[in-house]
Amino acid sequence: MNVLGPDLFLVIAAAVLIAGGIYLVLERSLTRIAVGLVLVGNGVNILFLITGGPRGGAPIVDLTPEEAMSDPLPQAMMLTAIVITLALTAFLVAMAHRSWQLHRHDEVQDDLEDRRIARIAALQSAQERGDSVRVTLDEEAAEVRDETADITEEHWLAEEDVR
Amino acid sequence: MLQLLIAHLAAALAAPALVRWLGRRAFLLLAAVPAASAVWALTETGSVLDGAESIIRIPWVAALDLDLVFRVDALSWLLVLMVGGIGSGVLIYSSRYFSSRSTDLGRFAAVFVGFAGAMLGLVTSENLVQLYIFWELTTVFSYLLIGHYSDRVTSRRAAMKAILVTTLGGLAMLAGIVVLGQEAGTYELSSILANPPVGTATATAIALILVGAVSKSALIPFHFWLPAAMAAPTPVSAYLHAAAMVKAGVYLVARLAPGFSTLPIWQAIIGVLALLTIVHGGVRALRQSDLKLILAFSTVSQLGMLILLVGSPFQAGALAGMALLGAHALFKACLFLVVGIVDATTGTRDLNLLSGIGRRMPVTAVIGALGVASMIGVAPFAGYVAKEAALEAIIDGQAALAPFGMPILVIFALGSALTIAYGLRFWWGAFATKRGVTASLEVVRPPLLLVAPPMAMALAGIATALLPGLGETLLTPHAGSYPLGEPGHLAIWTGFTPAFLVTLGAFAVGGTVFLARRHLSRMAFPWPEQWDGDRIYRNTLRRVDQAAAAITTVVQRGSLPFYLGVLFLVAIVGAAPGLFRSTVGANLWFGTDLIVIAASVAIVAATVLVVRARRRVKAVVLAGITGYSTALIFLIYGAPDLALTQVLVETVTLVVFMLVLRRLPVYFSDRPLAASRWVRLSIASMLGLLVAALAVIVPQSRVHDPISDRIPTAAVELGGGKNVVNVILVDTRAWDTLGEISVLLAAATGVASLIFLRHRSTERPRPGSLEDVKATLGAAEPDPIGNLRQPRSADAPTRKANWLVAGMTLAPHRRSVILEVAVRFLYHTMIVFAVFLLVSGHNAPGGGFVAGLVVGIAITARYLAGGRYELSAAAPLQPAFLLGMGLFIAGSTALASMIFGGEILESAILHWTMPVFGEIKLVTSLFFDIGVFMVVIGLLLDILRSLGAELDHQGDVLDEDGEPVRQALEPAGTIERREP
Amino acid sequence: MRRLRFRRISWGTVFWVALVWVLLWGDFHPGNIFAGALIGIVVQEVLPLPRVPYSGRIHPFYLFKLVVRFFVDLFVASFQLAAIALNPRRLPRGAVIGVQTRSASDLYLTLTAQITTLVPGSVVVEAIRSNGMLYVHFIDVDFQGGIEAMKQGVLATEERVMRAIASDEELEQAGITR
Repeated sequence: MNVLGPDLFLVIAAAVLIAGGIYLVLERSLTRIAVGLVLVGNGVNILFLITGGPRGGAPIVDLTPEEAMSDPLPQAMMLTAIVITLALTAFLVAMAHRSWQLHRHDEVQDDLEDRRIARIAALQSAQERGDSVRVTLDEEAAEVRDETADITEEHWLAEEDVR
Repeated sequence: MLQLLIAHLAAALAAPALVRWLGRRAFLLLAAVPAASAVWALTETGSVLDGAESIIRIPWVAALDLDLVFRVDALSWLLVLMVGGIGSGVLIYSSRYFSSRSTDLGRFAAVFVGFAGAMLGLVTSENLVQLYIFWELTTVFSYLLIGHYSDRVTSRRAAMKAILVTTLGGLAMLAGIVVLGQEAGTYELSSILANPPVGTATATAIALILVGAVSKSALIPFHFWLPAAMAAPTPVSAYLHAAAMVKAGVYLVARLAPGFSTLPIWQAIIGVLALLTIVHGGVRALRQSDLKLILAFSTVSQLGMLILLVGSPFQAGALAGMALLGAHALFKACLFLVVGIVDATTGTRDLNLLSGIGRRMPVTAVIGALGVASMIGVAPFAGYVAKEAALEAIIDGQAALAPFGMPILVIFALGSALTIAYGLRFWWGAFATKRGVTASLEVVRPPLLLVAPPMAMALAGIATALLPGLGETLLTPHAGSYPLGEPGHLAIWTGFTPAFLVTLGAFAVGGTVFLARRHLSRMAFPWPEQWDGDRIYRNTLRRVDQAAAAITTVVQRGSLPFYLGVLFLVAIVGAAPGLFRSTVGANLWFGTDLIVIAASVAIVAATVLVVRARRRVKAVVLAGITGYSTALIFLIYGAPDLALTQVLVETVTLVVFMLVLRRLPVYFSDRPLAASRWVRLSIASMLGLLVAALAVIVPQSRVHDPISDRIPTAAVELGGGKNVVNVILVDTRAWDTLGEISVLLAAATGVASLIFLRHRSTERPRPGSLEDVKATLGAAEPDPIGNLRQPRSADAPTRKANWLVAGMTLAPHRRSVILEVAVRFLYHTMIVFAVFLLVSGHNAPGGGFVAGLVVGIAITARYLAGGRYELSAAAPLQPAFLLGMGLFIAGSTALASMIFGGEILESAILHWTMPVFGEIKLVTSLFFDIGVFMVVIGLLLDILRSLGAELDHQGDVLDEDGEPVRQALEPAGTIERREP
Repeated sequence: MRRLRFRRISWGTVFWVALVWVLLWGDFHPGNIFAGALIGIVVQEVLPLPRVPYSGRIHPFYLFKLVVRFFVDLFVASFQLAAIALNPRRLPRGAVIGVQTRSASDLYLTLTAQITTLVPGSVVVEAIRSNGMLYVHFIDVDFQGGIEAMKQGVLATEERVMRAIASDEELEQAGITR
């Protein structure tokens, strides 16, 4: 199929883009994450391009002969990816602004619920839970009461049934 | 049969309404339903006597071979009778027992009837899976019944304990059922029992099923939920723990015994657990002072006896066990109901506080005596007959039981003795007159409805004992199916047999223990603490909670970088081995195309600088450089559509970033610690290497021909277009595009909702009112070169030229004349170009996306030149309208093709000729493209409105005089600043 | 249905749009021309912009001279810039020079600014409309002839522009003789 392999420079470009982008995505500042995503998006697109096969002409029917065309299918997918990356970037950037407005920084904070669980876990190991206090069956049984009717009243239609 | 089940269901559903309408009397009405099933069982007596079994089969899911099968044989008959009869008795009792103002009576009634129905289904199920369903239904209903007083901690805890233990057993049972079903090839009981499978798998399955049965029937070590369940109302205890729920386990054991009771593992489990339980239950019962608790532990002990008997492989034992099953249900329910009467009258169940009740309520005392007599095993009560038969079976089977025969006999006898002891203690504690305890002597006559059911049960105990032959005939069909031994007999008097002697001995021991109770109680030898089932349960729960919290703390740190890091690490670790095993050589082509080399170098340099950048704008601009270089690469590599889109998108991205960055600080916040920096660097580099490896290996690993070889021809013939990529987007893979524009719509809405604090600003000032806004936008910003802007002479003609609609609304130092003039001239040209791209996109590079982006950029240029009022003038339609309309058009194009008889999203090629234009070819996917076009414009408009105009608005704060306030670059004062 | 306000529509724009449309398609089919004109009208109706305040007259000959001179400047300046960049011995001394333009119109100011920026070696950094000042940055003042020469160069550009497309009254106002 293809005697020559992929273009070395493209491989390097894609790898560097993705590495740099991921490095930024692992940060806390939302702006950096957004920029990182842009880089990753570009890197992934170049990766698609590489996997699409060797270089060819534009995939327009009368312009290039069919054998010389580059692979159009990954190109269509890349186009979708590019536009969606735009939408995503806009959204992230709006979130960064909102975060700045509310908290005066644009960093992604730790999840509050998870931190709460961590606090609870730390407390638990330090103390006994009140639940484990040993209550005997007898003591428990003494508290158990049914809501019974007054059975001294002989008539089965007791007072309380009369409304 | 099915009608009975449906009747139970209907009654359960109607119960709350009935109770609301009739009050407590509704219970009487509801009692008719279980009574009906008991009556039905009686009518079936004939067929049961004949040994015939009636089977009802209802096909349900044919594909899974799942049918609803119900079968009534001797064993089921007995249990249906019990469940129905005692159920109706308890319901009648409850109609008078509860106060009419008690909480949730309707729910109680409904769940109770439902439970009766579930028990009915359980004992008549032929299919094991169906049996499991009813089993779990009883578990759930029992949870609701035990926890009836849901506001009390004890009730909730007891219910939780019950459901946890029984569900644990139930799950083990399900596993066992599945394995057994697979081994036997069928889930139907009669088939399984006719040809029981053998093997280790079967043995394991049986063991698991037994775990389920013993957990339900409260044997050691699962017994501790039963005493705790005494927190339930007394009628519940009378039904569930005497007659119904705990008997389910016994039923299952009795059902499976004919086939499997010879298995060593069966005998080991049953033997050990039952024997331990008999003794443990008896001893604990002796130490209780609460009447209900005595009965609870008594039930535990008796259940041990029951399981021992019906689980034995001997016919005689089975017969005795079934007899005891019936007898126990009768006397235990009767005793629980009696305790309820005592409790309701006196307000206490503590036998240390009760005294003289026998004299106050003689009728109740008599009923209690009858019940206790049956429990102890005094002739001529049912309990006696059963116990005698049991002892006979054990003694007769001594040879076959060797070497365990003697221990079993001893323990059983001991159990009898303990039963006698605590039975006597129970009656004494409830009804006797004790010294030193004050008692009132007035006679109380409890109402008939409370007395009649226990009386009926006690009398039934006598009646069945007086006709032992009848009982034997009725129960032998099932007992006869057991594998070993001789058939047993039920009789009142069989002579001075060894069994009788053992009974006498038990009475002697038991009586002595009772009489010496005060001395014995001083010798308190408590059960060792660490073996207490309750305590183990509590500790286990606590450990599970702690473990859960600890694991969650470690795994779910809540930190985004952590999660992402783990994600990427897993990707690397997961993908790397596969890549290492690839046999493709590293065939890299050192490309000689200068442009590609230059672009790649630019990309690498820019990326390295982006990562190190400390200023936001710098990072963004450098990222833009990588984008434009990528576009260049696309162009060289034969992807003109992509290059177009990439360039435009990169431009828009830059604009979007800039619009927001003007409100953010110049520098990034401090970088994180060095340690985490190295971690991130290593993850990123490894990922980069992985990607490089992927890029080298994947293209060369292609084995088949790509499908895109066939697309160009199809594109022209079926899609009517020469631009293959565009045809793919709007025709072949139009679904993807439809999804994509939905994403755009969502993102636009998201951006707007994040920026707009109140509501979408709908102000769209017409040029007339712009006079009021003249030269105010941006007036608050400092103007360093303001003195350079003075006109050169006082009488120089002021330049009033209006290049754009709202240019004059900007303050002078915000206006750029070059930008305004250029935009004025270029604007319409750009629009025309966009329309051209839209229309020609199908045959040349272009398309809806690109066209929409060009229009968006044109509008952006007008906004940048003229401010937010210019933006309102530039947008002929609201962005929301454009977005919705675009999606609607795209969607209707998709559907329209269906209406016209094609597939969804199929495009049609139309030809016709027009006078001036000549021949026109129209492909309907153009409408789809128009929808996409509108959505993209809408997205960009919405972004500009939010990130552009609204942020401007938030920055331009006016004071009371309408003059712009200096330093208005802080966010609007309506936002509360929350301290972190 | 809105009343068609023909005053919004500038026929010059319609012509231009039709021309662009036809050139894009590459085919002088009458259908294309008609479609182009139609699009021109529709676009101006739907997306209106104020009329361009142009009161001048086009002089084809001078227009031609303007274009030719622009390309010549482009060509020469490229070599100049290369010489500046590759000369290891001297350091270029840049300067921002303020030039007072004479025309009263934003259009001529913009065109002058754009032509000046497009020619390598000079970039307009600020254009002030209220008094017609242009602030131009030159990369190497001495090499390019000195401050005064640069100023005259910009003014000469302006003069060429106005001769090409301005009316006689405007030329008079600016003090340029025909």
